[in-house]
Amino acid sequence: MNLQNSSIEYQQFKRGAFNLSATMSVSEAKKRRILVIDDEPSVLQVIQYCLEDLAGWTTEGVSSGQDGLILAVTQPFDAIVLDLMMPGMDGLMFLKALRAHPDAPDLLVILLTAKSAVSLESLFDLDVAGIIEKPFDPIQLPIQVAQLLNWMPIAG
Amino acid sequence: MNPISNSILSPILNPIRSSRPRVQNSLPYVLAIIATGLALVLTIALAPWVDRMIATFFHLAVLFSAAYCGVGPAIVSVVCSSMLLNYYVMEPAFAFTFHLPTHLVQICIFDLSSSVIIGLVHYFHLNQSQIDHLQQQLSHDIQTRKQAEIDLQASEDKFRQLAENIQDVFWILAVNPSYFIYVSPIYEVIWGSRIQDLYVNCHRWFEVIHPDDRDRVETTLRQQFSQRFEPPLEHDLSQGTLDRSITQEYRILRPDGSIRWIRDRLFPIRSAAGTTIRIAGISEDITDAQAVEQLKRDFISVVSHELRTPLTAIRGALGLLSSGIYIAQPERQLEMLHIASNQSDRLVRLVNDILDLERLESGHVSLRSEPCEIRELMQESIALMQIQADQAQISIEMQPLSGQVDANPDAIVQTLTNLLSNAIKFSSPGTRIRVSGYNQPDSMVRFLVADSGRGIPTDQLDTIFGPFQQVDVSDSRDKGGTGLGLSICRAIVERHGGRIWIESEYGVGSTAFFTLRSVDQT
Repeated sequence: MNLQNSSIEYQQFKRGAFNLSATMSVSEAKKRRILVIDDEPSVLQVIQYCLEDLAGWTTEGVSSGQDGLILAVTQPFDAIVLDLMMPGMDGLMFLKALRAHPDAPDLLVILLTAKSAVSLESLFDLDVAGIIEKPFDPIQLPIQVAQLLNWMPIAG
Repeated sequence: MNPISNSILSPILNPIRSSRPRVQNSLPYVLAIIATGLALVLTIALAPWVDRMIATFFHLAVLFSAAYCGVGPAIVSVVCSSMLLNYYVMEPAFAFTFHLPTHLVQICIFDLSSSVIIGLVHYFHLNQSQIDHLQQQLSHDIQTRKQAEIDLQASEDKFRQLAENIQDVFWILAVNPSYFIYVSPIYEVIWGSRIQDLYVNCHRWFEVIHPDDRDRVETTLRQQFSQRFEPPLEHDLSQGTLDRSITQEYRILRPDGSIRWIRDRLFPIRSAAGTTIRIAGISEDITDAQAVEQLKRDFISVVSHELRTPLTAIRGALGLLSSGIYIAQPERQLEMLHIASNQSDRLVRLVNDILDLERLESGHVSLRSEPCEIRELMQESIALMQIQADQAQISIEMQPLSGQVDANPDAIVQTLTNLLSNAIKFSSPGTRIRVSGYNQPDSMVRFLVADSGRGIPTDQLDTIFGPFQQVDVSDSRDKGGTGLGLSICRAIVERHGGRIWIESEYGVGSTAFFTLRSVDQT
């Protein structure tokens, strides 16, 4: 049933009900570039495909906080989609390091995590644009990301 | 006794009756009349020797009646005596008429003296019964007081046994001015400080609370107890206190530097006006419970993360597929199907392992033991892992041991394959894994699986048997494990009464050992 729903959603999506691609094409000159950080390769791949194939954005995927930090401070990105629970440098450590980094731009960050796993107080100073709960709905993911980042008027 | 005398005389007679054995109602009168008759007989019989006018015997009869039969019979005795004296003794005999006025005077004197006798005896009886009554009351009072003392002692003993043997601290605090009225002695054990200090200064209670918790505890207390409460309409202290109990949990810093978790339950005791006059409390050490709770929370949080990750990938892959965007891209379709299929397998493994571990640790699964050939156990396990080893280009070498162990063969094969699987995962291609065993002197057989892989840091050799305690959390992903393999091995070996451990040199290799009871072949 859910799969059917997602199919319907995608049809609406294509018909421009959410008008995401249309909005994007207006500002096509500056194509959105998103850094995705998740230690789970299959999840990382699915996130990237969602953002690329559904929304038409470009993505860069890395599987650890350390790699992510290097990319984030050396390459231009419009936003970061960040997994919270990772071995080694986890999402929170990454965020703290990013915000403390002298070269780090004020990057918009969206957390992908189980809501129960994060206390809102710990995120208070870290300027997080939003949280998307796992497991996420792949069809809705780019729409949610865009809404959280105010990249388009909220549809419907 | 006739009804009239019963109602009129009973108040007077009652003390007498109550102090001596109860006699038949008419018997006292009969006795009095007999005594009087006897007096007449004696008077007449002894007339030649005694002056008849003395009437001594009649006095004795009246005295007897008064003493032993009561006032009524004594009066009857006096009346009878007067008449008998008049009729038989005084001149003229056998007639009620008087010859001389002196006879009337004599009768009167007799009656008067008899009345005095009755009065004296009765007075004596009254006093006697009063004394008896008082004595009875006194002894009753003494007994009551003794019982009360015994009860008090028993109640005190009960309280002491309760307060001093329960492993929680009971206390009562007076409010305004604040001081502890009672603190049970286990305080000294839990807090590690002297109870006397607390009696001297009740604020010590707050001083030892962890700085991070102190403000919270004090604020709650102040808020709760500074308010005035309207007493309930039907005022009942014991009920009034229970509905407002407060529970607080906080840490204390002990003088030795250790931290304990305390749970306080406070019960305000209020005056009739509704102000809190005392606080009763129970404080328990919940440090151990807290640790267990934390372990449980951690486990659930890890399990939920472990389950959520494959679910996220499956949902994402299937969602993308069903959206139809990959209709023209068969290679992307295949990729999504691969992700969904692999992650489903992972989910199945994880759920199976969690259930296995739960059943083993809770003891719900019965492992039937039988004598097993050690060589067969090793061969079967190696055969199961051969493909995986070949793929990783690792050779497995067996140095078998003849003999039998008392074990459940399936569970031991599961243990050996788990250990082999770990050894294969963490060895580099071209290396060798050795499976071997030897007899210990304590009639146990020691199995070992040795690899020359990357090894395990010394500080993790114990924790590695805990659930989801991989040396590197990413192992579960890269190596396809669930993070529960060693936990399951430990559960199986411990159910067999054996021991499992790992010895390792970081960067050189690890050896896993476990022991099982051998079967004596006599």
